[in-house]
Amino acid sequence: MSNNKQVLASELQRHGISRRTFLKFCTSMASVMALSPADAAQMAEKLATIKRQSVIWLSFQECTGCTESITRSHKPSLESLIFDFISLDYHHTLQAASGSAAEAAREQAMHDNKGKYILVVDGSIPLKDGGVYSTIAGMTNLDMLQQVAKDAAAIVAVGTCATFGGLPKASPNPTGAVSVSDIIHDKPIINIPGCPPIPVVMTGVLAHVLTFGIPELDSLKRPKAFFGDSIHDRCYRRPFYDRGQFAKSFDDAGARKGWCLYELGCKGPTTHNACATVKWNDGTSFPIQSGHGCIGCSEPDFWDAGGFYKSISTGIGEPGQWATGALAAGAAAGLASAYLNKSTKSDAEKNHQEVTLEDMGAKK
Amino acid sequence: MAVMNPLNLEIEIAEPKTGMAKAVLNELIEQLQIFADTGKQHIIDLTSLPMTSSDKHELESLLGTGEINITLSTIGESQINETAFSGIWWIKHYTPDRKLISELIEITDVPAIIKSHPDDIKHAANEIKNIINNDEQEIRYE
Ligand code: SF4
Ligand code: SF4
Repeated sequence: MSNNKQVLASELQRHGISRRTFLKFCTSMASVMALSPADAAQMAEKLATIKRQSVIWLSFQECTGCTESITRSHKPSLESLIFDFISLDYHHTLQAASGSAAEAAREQAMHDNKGKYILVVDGSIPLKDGGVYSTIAGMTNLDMLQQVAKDAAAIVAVGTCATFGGLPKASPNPTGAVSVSDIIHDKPIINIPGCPPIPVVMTGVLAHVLTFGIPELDSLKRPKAFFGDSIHDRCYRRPFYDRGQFAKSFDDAGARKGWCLYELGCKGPTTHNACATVKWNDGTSFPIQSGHGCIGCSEPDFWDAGGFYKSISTGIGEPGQWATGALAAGAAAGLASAYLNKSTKSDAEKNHQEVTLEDMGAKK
Repeated sequence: MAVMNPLNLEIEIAEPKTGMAKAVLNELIEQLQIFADTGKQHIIDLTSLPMTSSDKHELESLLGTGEINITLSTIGESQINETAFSGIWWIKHYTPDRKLISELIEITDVPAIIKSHPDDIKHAANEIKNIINNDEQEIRYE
């Protein structure tokens, strides 16, 4: 079992990782989290002094894609070091023990760290017909969630299934699937949606919980740091959008020139996630960079939101109107970076939030 | 930007200039003056700005190269270069397989990452004693 007294700094030293390296890691982490770059140093200092944290991971009605995403995140890296540093006391896919030994490990961890462990959940919870559609060791997902949540310090719901019901909940929702926050109301819950969620967002949120505590959340309980910006806010094709240059089909001249995919159904403007900056597969690319619009996988009910190739309705004003103005104003005031800084981009933010999923559905 | 297509041919997709370089430059002008007057440092995180590769090239050539180029070798390299303008540093952090993970412009006298951390110094102060102990042993065995 893990030594609970160990702090991360000594683990770093044992791996021959200098604090300079660690600062480099925290700098990229801060960038991902849209924290101010100056916060990186503070984060590095705090993170270095954290102690081992017990984590219990429950997988319910899911496809294991979320676990895949997180465990395949990177080659041995500082992120995986952080992930290793937490004490994953129960995860029925990853742990060596199985059957009653596994359940015993879970009960042991719950007992030893009562009120202090973090509960991570992936997968939705089926409620129909007494919850028979998904059980672990003979226990329904509902019962297990309630039992483990009771003494958790906080719950992290990972993936669109645990956060919003996800694919299992897609119409006609045959199993009566619901999200974690539909069931648990008396614990802090952090939602990390995405199908799957971005690995570094997961480690980032854990890092945040361990250093600065529960991050600031939006109305859907998502960390603002990662989900405060839409894909559209940070999309490198944005200048084309602003100029009204749109690809009309996936193989026309505009598409070949890398123009905006808005008219081909891109859900970037209504989707809050960090794909445009963090990207996927080790930072290789993300859908829009590969020529396909965002399908909005991290938003509630994205599967039923009216078709991946249907353009969303324009509640944000005519493309190319407001943003160019904001950019020009920012340039004049010498505030290029502040233009996209989470604390100051109020106008842009307001404009985006006018487009809701109902708007997307309305065009069905 | 280079993209691979299914036939494994490298295609160059031209990314046009968007005006972001000038916008960032304006911010630098303002902030460098503030730093000169008050000593208040400033950092711009280029990674999270919607800049195309052409925008970055434009900004890089506007700022030019200065007297100091530092390479940090740690889980991937980092390039810490002073631009032609004293006090403006351009920092690029790479992964071991040379992917750019973050890119910053710092307005400061010395970027924080260059300094040795007190913990590392303490650790080193112990380590260096071991070296001399080992060395003395070797001499005795000779
Ligand atoms: S609509 Fe999509 S492709 Fe176009 S700028 Fe927005 S996020 Fe990028
Ligand atoms: S680009 Fe859109 S659809 Fe793709 S992973 Fe990100 S949020 Fe999901």
